[in-house]
Amino acid sequence: MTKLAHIEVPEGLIASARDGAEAARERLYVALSPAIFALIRRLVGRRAVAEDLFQETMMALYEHLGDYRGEGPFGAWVRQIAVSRCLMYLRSPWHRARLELDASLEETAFRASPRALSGSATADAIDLERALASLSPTARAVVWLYEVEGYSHEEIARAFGRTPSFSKSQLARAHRRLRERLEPDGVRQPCAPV
Amino acid sequence: MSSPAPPRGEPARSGLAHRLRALPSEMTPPFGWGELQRRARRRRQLRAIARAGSASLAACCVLALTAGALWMHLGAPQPNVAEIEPTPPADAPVRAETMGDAATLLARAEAAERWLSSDPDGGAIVHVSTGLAIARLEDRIASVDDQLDAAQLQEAGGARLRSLRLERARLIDDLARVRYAETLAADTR
Repeated sequence: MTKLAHIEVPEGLIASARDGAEAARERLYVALSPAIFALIRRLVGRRAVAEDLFQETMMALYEHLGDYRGEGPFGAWVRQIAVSRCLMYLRSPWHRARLELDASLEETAFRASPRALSGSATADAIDLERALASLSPTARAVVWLYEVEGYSHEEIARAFGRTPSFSKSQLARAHRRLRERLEPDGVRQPCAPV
Repeated sequence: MSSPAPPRGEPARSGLAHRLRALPSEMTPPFGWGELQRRARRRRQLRAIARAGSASLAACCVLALTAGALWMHLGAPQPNVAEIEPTPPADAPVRAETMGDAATLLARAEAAERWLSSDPDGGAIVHVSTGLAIARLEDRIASVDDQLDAAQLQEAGGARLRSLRLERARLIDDLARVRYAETLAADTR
C-alpha cells in the first residue's frame, strides 16, 4: 500500500483528466481515493465527517486540476488539498463547539475502554487505532502530520495558524497519552525528542 | 504509479512513528466513481438553485423595503395638501432650487405615468401588502385629481395648483416605484 504523498501519476493521465476525459478522471479516482480517504479518516476520526471531507477533497481535486504545475509528486499535491480541507474543518467554530460538548464523553470513553490487547501484529494495529481514536482531533492530526506525513513543527504551526510551541506541546501530550494506552504499567519506551 | 523514498526526517522520528506508519495507508472509500459524479451533478444543480434564490431574495428585499417605506409614508393620516401649504402672495418669488426640483419631479412623474399607462393590466401583483399599498396610492392620486379639478374650477391661486400638481407627481412617482419592484419580483418567480 502506498502513502498518498508518494503516489505518482503519469503526466499524460493528468493532462487527459484536466481536459475532462471521463475515463482518465475515473482512473485518477481509482488510484487516489483509497489513500485520500485513509488520510482524511486518520486526521478527523469521525467517519461521517471523513466522508463529507473526502467528497469535498475529490471535487476540489477535479476543479483545480489545472493548478497542478508538476512540481513534486501528484500525490503530494493532492495531499495538500486533503490536509487543508481537514484543518479547515478542525479550525471551524462549529467543530470547536462540538468538541466542547464531546469532551466529557471522550474522557469517560478513554478511561472505560479496554487497555492493550495481545502482541500480534493485527492486535497491535487495533491497539494503535484505538489509542489514536482516544486523542483529541487536534492532537491526532498533529501526531499524524508530524510522525507519518513528515511535516515539521513549523509547517504544522502554519497550517493551524498557531506557533511551533503549540505543535510541540500537542505532540508531547499525545505521546504521553498514547504511551499510557499502549504500554503496560511500568514499561516505558523512550520517545524521540520533539 | 510508483512509491519513492520515505519522507524526510525519518531517522529523527520516534519508535511510535514506525508503528503509526505501519498502519494501513489505504481504506476503501465510502463511495465509487459513479456516486461521486452523481453528487457533483447534484451540487452543481444546488448551486444554480442557490444563485437563482439569491436573485429572488434580493428582489424581494427591494420590494419589502419599498413597500415598508411607502407604508410608513402613507400610514400616518394625510391632511389635505392644500390645507397645510400656506398660500403665498401671488407675486411672491419662487426659489430657484425649488423650481428645479419641482421641474425634475414633474418630468419624472410624466415619464412614470406613461410607463404605468403602457401596461393596461397593471402588472402582476405578487404580494398582498404591496397590492394594498398600490390601491391606497391610487386612491390618493384620485383624491388629488378631484382637488385639482375643484381648484381649477374655483380658479384658485397658482401656488395651490402647483402644490397639488407636485403632490400628484410625488404619488405617481411612488406608484411607479412599487409597480417596478413588483414587476421584478414577478419576473424572478
